[in-house]
Amino acid sequence: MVNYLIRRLLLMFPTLIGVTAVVFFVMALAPGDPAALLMEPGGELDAEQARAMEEYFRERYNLDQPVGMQYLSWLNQISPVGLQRGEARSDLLGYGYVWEGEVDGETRYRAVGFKPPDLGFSFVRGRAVIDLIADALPITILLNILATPVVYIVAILSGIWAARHRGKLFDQASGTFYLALWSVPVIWAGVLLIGVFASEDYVRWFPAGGLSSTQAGRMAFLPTGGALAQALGFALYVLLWVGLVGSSLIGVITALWLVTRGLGARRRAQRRGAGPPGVGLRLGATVVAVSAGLALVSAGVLYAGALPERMPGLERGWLVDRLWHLVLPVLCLSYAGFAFLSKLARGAVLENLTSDFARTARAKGLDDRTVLFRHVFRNSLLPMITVFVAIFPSLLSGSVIVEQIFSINGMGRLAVQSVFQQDREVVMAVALIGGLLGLLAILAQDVLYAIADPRVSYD
Amino acid sequence: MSTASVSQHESDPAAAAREARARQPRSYIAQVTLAVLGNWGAVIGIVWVAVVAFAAVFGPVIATSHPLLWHAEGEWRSPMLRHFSAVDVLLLGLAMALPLVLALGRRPWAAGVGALVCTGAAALVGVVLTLAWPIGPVVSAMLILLVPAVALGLLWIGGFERGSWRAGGGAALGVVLLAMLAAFGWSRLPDAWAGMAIGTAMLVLLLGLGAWLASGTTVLRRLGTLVLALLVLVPPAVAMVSPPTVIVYSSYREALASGEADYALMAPIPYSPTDRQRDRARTRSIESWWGPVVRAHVAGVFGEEADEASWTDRERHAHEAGHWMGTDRKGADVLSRMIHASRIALSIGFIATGIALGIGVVVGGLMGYFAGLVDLLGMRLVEVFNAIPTLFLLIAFVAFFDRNLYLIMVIIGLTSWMGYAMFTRAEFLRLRQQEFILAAQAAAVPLRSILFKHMLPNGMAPIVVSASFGVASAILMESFLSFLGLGLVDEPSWGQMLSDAVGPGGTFSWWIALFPGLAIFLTVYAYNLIGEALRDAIDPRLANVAR
Repeated sequence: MVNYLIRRLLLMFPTLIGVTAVVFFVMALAPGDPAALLMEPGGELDAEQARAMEEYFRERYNLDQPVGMQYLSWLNQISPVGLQRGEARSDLLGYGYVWEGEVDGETRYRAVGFKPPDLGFSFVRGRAVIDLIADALPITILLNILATPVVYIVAILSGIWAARHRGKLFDQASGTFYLALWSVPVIWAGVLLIGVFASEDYVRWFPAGGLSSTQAGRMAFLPTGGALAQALGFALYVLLWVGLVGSSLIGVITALWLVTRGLGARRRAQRRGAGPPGVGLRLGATVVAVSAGLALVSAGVLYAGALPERMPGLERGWLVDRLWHLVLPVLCLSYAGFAFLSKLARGAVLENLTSDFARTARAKGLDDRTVLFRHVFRNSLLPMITVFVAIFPSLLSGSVIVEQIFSINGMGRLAVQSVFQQDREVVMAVALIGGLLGLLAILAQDVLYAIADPRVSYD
Repeated sequence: MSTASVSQHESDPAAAAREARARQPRSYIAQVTLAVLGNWGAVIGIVWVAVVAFAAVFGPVIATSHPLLWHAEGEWRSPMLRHFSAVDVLLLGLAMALPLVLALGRRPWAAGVGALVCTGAAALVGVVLTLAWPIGPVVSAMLILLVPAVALGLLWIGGFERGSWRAGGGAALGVVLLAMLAAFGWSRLPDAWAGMAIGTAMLVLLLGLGAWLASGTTVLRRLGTLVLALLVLVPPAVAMVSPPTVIVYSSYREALASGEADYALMAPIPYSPTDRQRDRARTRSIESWWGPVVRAHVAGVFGEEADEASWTDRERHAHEAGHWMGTDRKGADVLSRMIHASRIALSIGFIATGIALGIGVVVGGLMGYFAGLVDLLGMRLVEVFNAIPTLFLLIAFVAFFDRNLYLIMVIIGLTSWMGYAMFTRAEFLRLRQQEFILAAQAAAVPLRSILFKHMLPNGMAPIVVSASFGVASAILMESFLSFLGLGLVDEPSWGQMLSDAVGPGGTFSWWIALFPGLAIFLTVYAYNLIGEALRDAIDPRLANVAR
């Protein structure tokens, strides 16, 4: 397994280089002069700004050099490890080996080592691109992180039920329904949802856009006002703390148990004879992962809530307001995945239900429910893990549309606005970060799959 | 008993032949086609795709502000024919030629029929040109009498004397084409007749050409010659068919109202997609004419007031304006825009998928056949394109390249080839161990032949299934781009219409959202249904697991 993971990591580097190459050569192969394309101003720039922009682009992209050198120098600038140049020692940020040199009679400093990646500067917005992305990325990640469990839970439940009652009404009806749901384009679903549920002409159950109301900054974190609301708010608060502390405790204890069990495993295996690592280890790892996740989420939520102050009167509260704004976008983002995953889950559960080990379990006298949830379920989860790598980039793509429809300032909306403002560096940076996220998803999926299925090997 | 039936059939050779054919196993393609047609979901899908294709091809005829026939100042004109673009003419010609190509099949007399039709076309064009403006008796006599005579003569020689109808037909066609080109080059056509003459001529020419091509042998050869014919006809069509660029839609309505024009035969939907009806007041965001009627009926069921007197001003105006699906925020008719947008959708769907298939099959085939290092590198390439989210890459392309229809097709194709590559790779990895491939390698069959003639036909099945889903996904991608405002600028598109639905003040025009969205949904659903039916038909093992 470790062998497999190391090979996978090493193979990730060519793909990483490939992603940067694809993004760069979209710009380099564009018709017309790349200099003219990059320097096209999207807004009003005075003479000094225009000069600064020209200077910046010439320095950053080395536009008088051949394309290969341009690519390498761009790669150097966006990577966290590389070469830096500066006129004073203080220009060089990060950690590395510094040396001096003489250029045209003046001392210049160079450094090689770790450096902050420089994704460019947006002249239209007047900020560094990496700041723009740092603002927009967490929002997109939030949307996708909320959508993924929704998709998985609905799909797994539906798939299991359809497999158990194969051929009957639920199976056929859900199959047709999901195929139809998959064919509904996100643009149509989003526009209809906004039009029916969030417009003035019809019902106004949900807000039409954004992530928070305008007064959200002044709201208390939890619902306030009225004894019932305060009691509920307090209960929610306590629950969050219990969740944080409880899941941390469970995670730590399970990790300790895993370590002690793992330490003794090799000796025990030698005594007993070779065999695959027990179910306990894998289950333990899953429990640690889930509880770590829960702990992180509760901590994050509590930390975010520490900021606003309290106000009297009955009020939704920042948390509930944020959740209320997120319902429609997450729904739009997640419905497309139901069909695909549900079919996959159904197929996997069906295949395992008709396998030999399930037949043995039933022959032993176990009832259907135990066979399904204790034996079949875990084996069916394997293809669901594999498919995560396909789902994540499509979720990112879908979030572009959802962000545009619901006016949420995530990466997708940043990219679309930058196209209209002709801020092409931002577009390149967004594509690059999207590719990196996709690569991380591939890596995560491989690691999870290697943990879940010890038989996997790379050949 | 059996001997009696055998002797009965022996005496009837036609019945015996039919029985022999029935006893033969059906070809794979025939089996799959029958299985797909037996699946009612796929049939509905095919019907809807046919409807959309019909709208795409005949759009300029059924939904246009230009009258089909127009009588003013004592002259008969056809503004619709005059305003045909080259693409319109080509599509119409193809649509009429295609059934002939598919239906006439292997009949030997098809070539003769085709050439006869073309000769008739030449004579017709000669008559029209003679009537339209004086080209002189010599030229008109040549066109009406000499050229058809020469063509018929060639046909006779080729068919009866030499025994090859195809050669004779081809020679006749060549003569007719040359004569027409010469006549057009010679003359100065007045604007009003140019489009009509050229349009009619090209339509009938393509009709005849189609019939001539139908005399070919295999389907592939016939389609191949059709593609060749297209390549021959496209440049003259593009060069000769030039509709006027300045169009004033309101002039027709104004002329009819003022009495300048006596008669106008309008299309069924008398609005062009870019006709903003500037001559009329209150043209923006009008509901469908049946919307208030339906609402009144529903209200009547619940016992409320339902007669026209109780309608609002806006509802009454919508009922009178008579738009089947209302108008958008600029005043253009929604149904007309939807019909014209179907051409963009279908063409992008097919061509982008074709490009993706080309790239994917080649890359996947090489990966599967050679394995080893080629496989490793190919997998990295596939991973690179899989990792970057499709829409981000599309947005990056649109940011740096122009907005061009063909460019959008190419870039959608460039971002969706990976699935086909993986399927092809899996099939080729499976097939390269087979004995017939080893035998081909041992016999030193060239590589391209092994890949495309031996392995690919055997591994096509999952690729065909995937292509059906791929067309749906390409149509979706284009609609996403148009929705975001990154698609084509002046052409109507379903996605761009959807982005119009929620107005700036938060008002929601349900008709602008419902119908284009429904069109996209039905088209994508149709292709998904066809893909599912193909999958069930092609791989029965998958069908059994699903059952």
